[in-house]
Amino acid sequence: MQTDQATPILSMEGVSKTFTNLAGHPVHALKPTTISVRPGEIVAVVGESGSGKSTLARVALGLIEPDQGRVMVYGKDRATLSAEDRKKYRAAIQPVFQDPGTSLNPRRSIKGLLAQASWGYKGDKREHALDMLRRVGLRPEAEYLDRYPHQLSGGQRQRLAIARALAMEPSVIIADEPLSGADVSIRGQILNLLLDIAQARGVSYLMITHDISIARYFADRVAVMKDGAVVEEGEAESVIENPQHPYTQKLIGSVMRIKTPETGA
Amino acid sequence: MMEIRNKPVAGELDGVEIQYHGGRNVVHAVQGASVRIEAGQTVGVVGESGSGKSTIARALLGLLDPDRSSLVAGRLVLDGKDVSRLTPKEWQKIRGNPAAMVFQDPLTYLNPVMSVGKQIAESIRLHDPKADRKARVAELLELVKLPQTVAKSYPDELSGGMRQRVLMAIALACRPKLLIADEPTTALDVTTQAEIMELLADLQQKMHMAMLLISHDLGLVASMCEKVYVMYAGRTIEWGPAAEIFHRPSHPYTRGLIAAAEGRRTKDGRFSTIGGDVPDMRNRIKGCPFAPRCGLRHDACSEMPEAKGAGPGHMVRCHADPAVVRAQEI
Repeated sequence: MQTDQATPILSMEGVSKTFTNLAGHPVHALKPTTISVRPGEIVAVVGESGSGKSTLARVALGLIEPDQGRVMVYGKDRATLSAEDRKKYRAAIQPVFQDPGTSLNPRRSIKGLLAQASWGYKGDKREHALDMLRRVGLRPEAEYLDRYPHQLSGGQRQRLAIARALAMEPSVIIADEPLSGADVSIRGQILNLLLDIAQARGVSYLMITHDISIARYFADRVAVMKDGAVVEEGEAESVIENPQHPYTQKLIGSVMRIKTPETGA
Repeated sequence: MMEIRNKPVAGELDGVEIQYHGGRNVVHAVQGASVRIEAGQTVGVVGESGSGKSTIARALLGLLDPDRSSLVAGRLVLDGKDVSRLTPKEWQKIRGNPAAMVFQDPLTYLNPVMSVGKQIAESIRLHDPKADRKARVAELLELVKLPQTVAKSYPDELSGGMRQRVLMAIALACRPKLLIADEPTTALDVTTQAEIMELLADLQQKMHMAMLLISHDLGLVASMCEKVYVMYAGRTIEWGPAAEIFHRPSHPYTRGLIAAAEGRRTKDGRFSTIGGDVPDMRNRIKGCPFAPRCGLRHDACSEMPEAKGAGPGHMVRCHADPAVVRAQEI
């Protein structure tokens, strides 16, 4: 799909979502929110539980329809697309979820999981699968084809989840807490992999995270959410180092950092 | 080892080795861990998953299943007494005092069909049958800064932070001298984490209690603890005053872990990582367990080094010169 730098690949304009809880009361999970991702951009959405950040991710993926507002993909309103176009645009936006242990079907081999993710792919699916495994650094790739998710370590499973997202050659990857189960030494490996993919294939990211340091050092732009609304948005460094909204200040102030001579504290 | 033994010990693991066994498999989860917590002290144990940090915490409270695990070497001490060979019945008598524990996921440890007040009262009854339970429950709720109305609530009606406070009230009911906290805030939001940790520090002061804080979160441990132990592959590999460990890390693993945890990018725009994988704990590892991933590895690393000094009260188990480790490019 063509991209020009000016048009956001994905843009949510005033999207909102209200759920009804068990007692029948409305829960405003997402208040009218506007957020966009431009080509090659890494946008982080940070917030605590109940902030609406995962609802936003699900709206972006088309897993739930917003009550109000529009989701624009390449400048076109997703709701007005033909069924065929919808399918094409859906392929362009791919998810990576938090816990690859539960989002990967345990009964499918890696070959099967990647073939399933490559629906509509015209070429040799086996070759395509090998290519995906190579790209995410699961090597020697041929040895992985017949394995099952439970035979992989946590870090390898997260790589596989990323391979699956890449199988559709997406333009945007929506990553919902992709690192929250990973150990610190693995976290760096996965972030480096995501950077490599961004560089090699021009993929953009909308990363949902509760981790301030990931927002600060991985993202270009950060949106801070609280109670279903974006309270502050801007360039990553300036939002994190010089927060303006009282909630952002509280959130960042609550993070317990290591004080080392290098961090100057 | 040059530790000054002037204060009474609240808890200690000395040269501990622990195995898990199920069917034909044996996992050598802890292959040599020594941790010492003095009265009133806050001690942190950091490590990644599989490092054995939770295993040693559970061992120190007799919570390992005797049918599936065994202490194969070393000694456990609580409040100055050797507790290495206690039977499950004997453990039941001393659990709660001198030592009690709070866990990562309060919901799994709370009874879903019993009110919070009853659960706190139960803990009081088991250890002090003559106490005025109603008054004590009220006192404990106030101690953990929960409203009195919470006594009538059930666990599912409370937020994660409130549940953790309930677990703390239960643990504190028996006035322990040592509180073991295993990832107490891992499931909580950062703003809630800050509140809970502040409360824990406050209670520790008030009750003259020692604390053993087990966590994968280096920032949390750095902010809370006076003394820190770093575990890797079932061994304590570096320990000392927190400022020493975080300012002058002297084991290549500790340095790599701190760099990765800070999450900053290096000059070439990459994130710090530790290459390679953790060893397979089904094997007993003879040499230094970190050697296969270590940039400073040499022939001597086929033997596990003894602990040596790296600064005031700072010990490290690494063959390399601490100055060389600290100067290493990562």
